[in-house]
Amino acid sequence: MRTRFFILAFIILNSIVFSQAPGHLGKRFSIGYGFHTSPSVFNANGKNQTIIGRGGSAESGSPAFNAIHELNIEFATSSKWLTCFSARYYKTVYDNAESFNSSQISGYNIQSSRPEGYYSMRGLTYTLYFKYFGKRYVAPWGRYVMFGPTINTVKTSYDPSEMNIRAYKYNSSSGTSKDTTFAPFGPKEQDYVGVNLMLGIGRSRIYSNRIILDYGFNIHMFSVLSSLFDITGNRIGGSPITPANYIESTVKQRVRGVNRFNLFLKIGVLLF
Amino acid sequence: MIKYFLLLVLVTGTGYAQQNLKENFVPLKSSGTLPDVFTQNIRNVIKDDITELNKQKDNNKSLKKTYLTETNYEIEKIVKSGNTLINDEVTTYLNKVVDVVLKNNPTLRNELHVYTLKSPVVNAYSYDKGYVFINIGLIAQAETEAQLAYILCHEISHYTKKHHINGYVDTKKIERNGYDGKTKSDVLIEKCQYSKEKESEADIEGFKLFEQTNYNLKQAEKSFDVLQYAHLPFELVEFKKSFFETDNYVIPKGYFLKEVSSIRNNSNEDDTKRTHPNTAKRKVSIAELIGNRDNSNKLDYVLGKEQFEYIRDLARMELCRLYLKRRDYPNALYAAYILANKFPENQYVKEVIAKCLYAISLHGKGIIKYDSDSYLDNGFPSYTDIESYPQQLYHFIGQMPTNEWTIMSLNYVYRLHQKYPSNKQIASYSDSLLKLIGNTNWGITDFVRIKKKPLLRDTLLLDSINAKIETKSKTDLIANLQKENTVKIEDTVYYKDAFVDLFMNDSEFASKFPSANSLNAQTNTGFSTYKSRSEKKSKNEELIKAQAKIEKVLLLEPFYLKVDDSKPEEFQYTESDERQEQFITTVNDCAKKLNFETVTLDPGLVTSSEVDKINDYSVINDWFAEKFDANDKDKNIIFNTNEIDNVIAKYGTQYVMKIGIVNYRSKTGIKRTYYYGFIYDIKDNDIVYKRYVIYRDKDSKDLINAKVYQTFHELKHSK
Repeated sequence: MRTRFFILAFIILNSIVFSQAPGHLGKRFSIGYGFHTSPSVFNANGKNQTIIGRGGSAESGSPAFNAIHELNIEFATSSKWLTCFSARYYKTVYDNAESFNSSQISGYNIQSSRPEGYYSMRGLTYTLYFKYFGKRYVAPWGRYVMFGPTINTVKTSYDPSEMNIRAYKYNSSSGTSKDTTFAPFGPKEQDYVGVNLMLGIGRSRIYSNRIILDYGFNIHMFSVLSSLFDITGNRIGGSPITPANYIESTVKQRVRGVNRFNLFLKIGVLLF
Repeated sequence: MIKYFLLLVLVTGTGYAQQNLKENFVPLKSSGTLPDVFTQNIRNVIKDDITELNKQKDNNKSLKKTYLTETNYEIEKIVKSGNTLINDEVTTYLNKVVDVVLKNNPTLRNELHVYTLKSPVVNAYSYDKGYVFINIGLIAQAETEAQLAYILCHEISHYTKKHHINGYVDTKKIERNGYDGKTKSDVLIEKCQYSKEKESEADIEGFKLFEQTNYNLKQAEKSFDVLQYAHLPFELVEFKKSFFETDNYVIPKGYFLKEVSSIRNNSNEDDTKRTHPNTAKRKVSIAELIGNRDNSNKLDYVLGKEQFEYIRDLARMELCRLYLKRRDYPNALYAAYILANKFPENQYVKEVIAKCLYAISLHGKGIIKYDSDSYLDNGFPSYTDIESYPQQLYHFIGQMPTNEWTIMSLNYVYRLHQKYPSNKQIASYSDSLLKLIGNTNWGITDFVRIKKKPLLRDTLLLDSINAKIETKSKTDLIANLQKENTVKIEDTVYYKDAFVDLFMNDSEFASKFPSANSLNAQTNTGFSTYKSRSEKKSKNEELIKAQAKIEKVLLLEPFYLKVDDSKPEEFQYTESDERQEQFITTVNDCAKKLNFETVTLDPGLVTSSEVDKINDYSVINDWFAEKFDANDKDKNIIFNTNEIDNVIAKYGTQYVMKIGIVNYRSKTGIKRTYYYGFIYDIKDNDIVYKRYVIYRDKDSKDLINAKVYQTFHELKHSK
């Protein structure tokens, strides 16, 4: 409630204090599509479908790229400020590169410390952000910096026949071991939510007084900071990964990987 | 019937009633139908010229194509500058002289377009396309009609011999050949040598043309004297202090030189680095041509002496205005002084004198300033740099203390105000001078006394005398004076009696005259000059936001220029021209979107019948020329304001907007785009809006649209 109040207050103040809101030739409202991409350095995709649908994987060491699609609306609240909202969507998989602690699994002789296969992820990132244009520019044209809070939602799903743990199960009565698989990763579909702070720098050009071409880069601050842990292999919070929390633990890393740093290219239409 | 109607239109369009210079002078104006250069599409003209060139065999086609582009734009720029007079009395007269000169060569006559240029510089120019421009400064100096005719012959010869285009090609070749071991000075000498040869050829060819006329051949030789002494005023008249004296005001002789310097003869100066041969050589050359030619029955005047002198007087009157425009007040004062001797009752001349006196007072007070950007580089020249009689005036200006100059000015200006009470400008100068006196330690007590001895004394006694003065109230003093009951105090300062008659007989003067130290806190000229305002200034941006509600602006010729150093022709004329057209559309579209009223005044958009717009454009341009004659231009006071009120009334706004784009690309590919939008209040002489921004970018359409729209939006939403 408090956060909502501050956001609302910010928008109203923007509109009042900077009441000179010209937009571009009077057009202040635009909708657009954006494409974000970044090299998938850590926690890369799996399934050999990583470079915008194809390419390398973490295991192969080939370069891989994330792809995010965005829809946005932007409104010039003054000659310097744009208030914007975007929804970004990405679909990817996690190739289970992280090992789990197998000591907590009794009755199985685990063959690999990593789960087989992958799990799928569908992410939606909602961002309320503000663009501030440089002193010589007029929103929505020119160079700008942007910032705003984001809410990252991600829905994961896995198929136990694909993602499982291969192990030998010892039958004490028969005295034999049986090769088996099992998937102790919790519900097949799991939802997670996180928050972040987006910062970015960009430049927008306007063609035919209607079409906006916007390019630049953005980062998610918390993702960048937590990268330090990702690099060192230390997990945030320090608790060991177990099959039960495997998805919860790794999905956060993967989401960080997707959002950490992105180059973007957006195309928009100035409506009115 | 139609023929008669056309004849009537022609007569009314080009016929003039002569001005009565004994009483007044109305600044020169264009009239009639505007020439084709105003309405033609210059890009098509250039295209036709180049097509014509391509038909010819020529080794320098590339250079000549560039020349044709540049020169067409240059001619257009000059003709549309507002400084070119069209179908006015002086230009019509010049054309009549050309008619006389070329009466046997109608083909050549029809190729020529002769115009007067409002410039005080003693010069004339011609272009390859038959355009001849004669400066007001030259006409003012000419001694006879024959001299003017010879100068025109000289310029016509430049045209017939194609000196301009050939000069361009050869100069470019010299530049392209590079220095190749030569110094810059060598290259300059080479260029000058070439130019001198062409000038000498024009002298000779011009003379051949001239000798076919009925003009006195000797005047051709004398015309070089006009050029030789072009730095001197158009007449040399002793400057007498009595001009500014009245019965109770006599200026001490000490302010004047006993003798003025002689005129230096530098006719044989070294002309190695000059584009023209020295006048001694030119005179000898013409004298040889005259030789024993029959000069009998040849005339100094074919059209008539009276008409010539009238036209020359018009030029001289106009010259005063041009000096004022350049803020060259001493020259304007001397020119007006000369004219006042001939036309003692001419109101315009008196007004010029009043303006000069007032301006010199303000200069003395540090209110009018000059700098290296000014036409008068860093102020009035020293009297030691001036020759002959004008030296007296410069010495006088330098010697007389500022406060005394203010008294002298007030004495002149207020009496002029009495004579022309409805003249608002004179009234405002008078009020302002009174306020200047209010800024001194003097007050009414220093002046309201009747003298015992009408003799001149030393001004240094002022302080000791002031100490003895008994202070009385202003009204008491005036009342006493009017009753002639004033206790007579012996006065030993020459200027103290200057206003005695005014105090006695003019209640307005008495009531306006300040008490001592009445306005001592700050310098107050009574003029609206520069208002303090919040100003945002950085290396790449300047902004003054409009403080007043602006609802309508006069859009003065939106400007667009593209410069590309990486190309052989750095000024991209054609592209600039195309962009300018688009820019004008953008500016008007943005204003329209915001329902902001604009009136565009652009010589490039007039029809042939809209000569009035050219005159209005000229009036505003003159205002800006005066305004911009210094680095610190915001503070410049404008004196050429006589016609501004008419323009304001006509267009319904006192706000004039200058807006433009300059795009620059360096040899190394660095791009810069400069955007500016200024609005000046031409009534109150103030800048009311300024936006100036530099971008390290190309001049993209979104940049231009955004900035222009922002400018109008800011104006629309100004307080």
